[in-house]
Amino acid sequence: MAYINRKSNEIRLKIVYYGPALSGKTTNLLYVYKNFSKRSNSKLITINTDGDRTLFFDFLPFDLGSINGFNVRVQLFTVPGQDKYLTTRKLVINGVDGIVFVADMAASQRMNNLLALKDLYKNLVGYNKSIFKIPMVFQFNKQDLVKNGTPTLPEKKLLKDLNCKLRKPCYIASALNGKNVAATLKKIISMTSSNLINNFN
Amino acid sequence: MEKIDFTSFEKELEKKLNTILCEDHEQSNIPKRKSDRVIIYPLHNLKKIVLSLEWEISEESIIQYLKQLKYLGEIFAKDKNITVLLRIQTILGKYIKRFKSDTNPYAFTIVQTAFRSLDKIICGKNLPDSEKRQLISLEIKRYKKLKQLLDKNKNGYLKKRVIPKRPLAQSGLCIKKHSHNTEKAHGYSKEFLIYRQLFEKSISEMKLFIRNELRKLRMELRSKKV
Repeated sequence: MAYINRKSNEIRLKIVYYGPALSGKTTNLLYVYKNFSKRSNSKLITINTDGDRTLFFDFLPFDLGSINGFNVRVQLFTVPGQDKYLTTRKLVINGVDGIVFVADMAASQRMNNLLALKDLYKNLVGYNKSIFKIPMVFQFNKQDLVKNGTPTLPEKKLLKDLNCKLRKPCYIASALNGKNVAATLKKIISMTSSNLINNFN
Repeated sequence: MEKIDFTSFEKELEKKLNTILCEDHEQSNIPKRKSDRVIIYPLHNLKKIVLSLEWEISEESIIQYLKQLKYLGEIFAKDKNITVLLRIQTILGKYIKRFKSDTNPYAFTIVQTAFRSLDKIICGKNLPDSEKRQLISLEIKRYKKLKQLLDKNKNGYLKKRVIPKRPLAQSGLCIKKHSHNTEKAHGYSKEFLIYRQLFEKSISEMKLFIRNELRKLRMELRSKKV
């Protein structure tokens, strides 16, 4: 849950990586952790099964340090993408300030992307939040699949499927190689913080 | 309550993010998770299914097997060598799906060998074309052998299912072609044989009568036409 504490001059943001199963949410967090953890004093907490599937959630506190006299702390979460963990997703999304929707670019995952977005919409409605108003960034992940010859969805199709009404910023990424992982994170942090400050003011 | 200066905050935040999320530094030595080491292997799912088929043949696993083959077929549509192997496996999959426990066990060995050949062709990028062709021709030979085996079994099955001829006494049909010796061998009574001869005669008389009648009718029709 986001808050601005005037006494302790602290801003806390909660950002959730949402998306279908195996779309690369945890890979995003792992990349952030591996590459930027020393600078942000963060420690990744992950609970996963034998097959490396997220069982509950991944949590990465990300300390941005002092900005304009405020100590900014970002909490990055991922949700388990599998259908059976609907309630866990609902719990994790509670008090969310910004969302990174990680969509899978694989052609076979088109329907799963749509279902995950629908699921997100429902879960946000459950907390009286609108998907249209909440700061959100789309990340079309697994661009590297193109090299392997795996059929992927073109950007236009993905935009039409997922972002034609929402009109959120989007990035084509490859979490495995780190392409646009940092860019996505930068965007969502700046969007969420500005939204929070606007609401506060 | 005091307002936060939005513009200055945004500028400073951007600077901070640029310094923290800058990607030009060395990667930390954090132990990798399994998923980080994943080398994308297109036959990962197919391998699982093929191994599971060796253990147990279930409707679901065969459906999955066929689905996976279809998916790979779309991916490797341009590679003829691979499509041949996938096609063989698809035919075998459909055959297994249809016959289930009655499947010829040789079909499973072909499923395994075809998968191994496919694995060699896909993973061995430096494999010469001659070797690839050799692998494929081997699989085709195996497939043809299975086909021959199935054809043989099919014929045997049909032979077994030929309906045995019933003795005349029971059927009352095929009177003419039965020889006298066979009748004796069957041990029919004399009375039955006499009745049968009479019956044969009456039938031949009826046939003659019908033929004559038809001839007369034809003659009449011709005369009327003229």
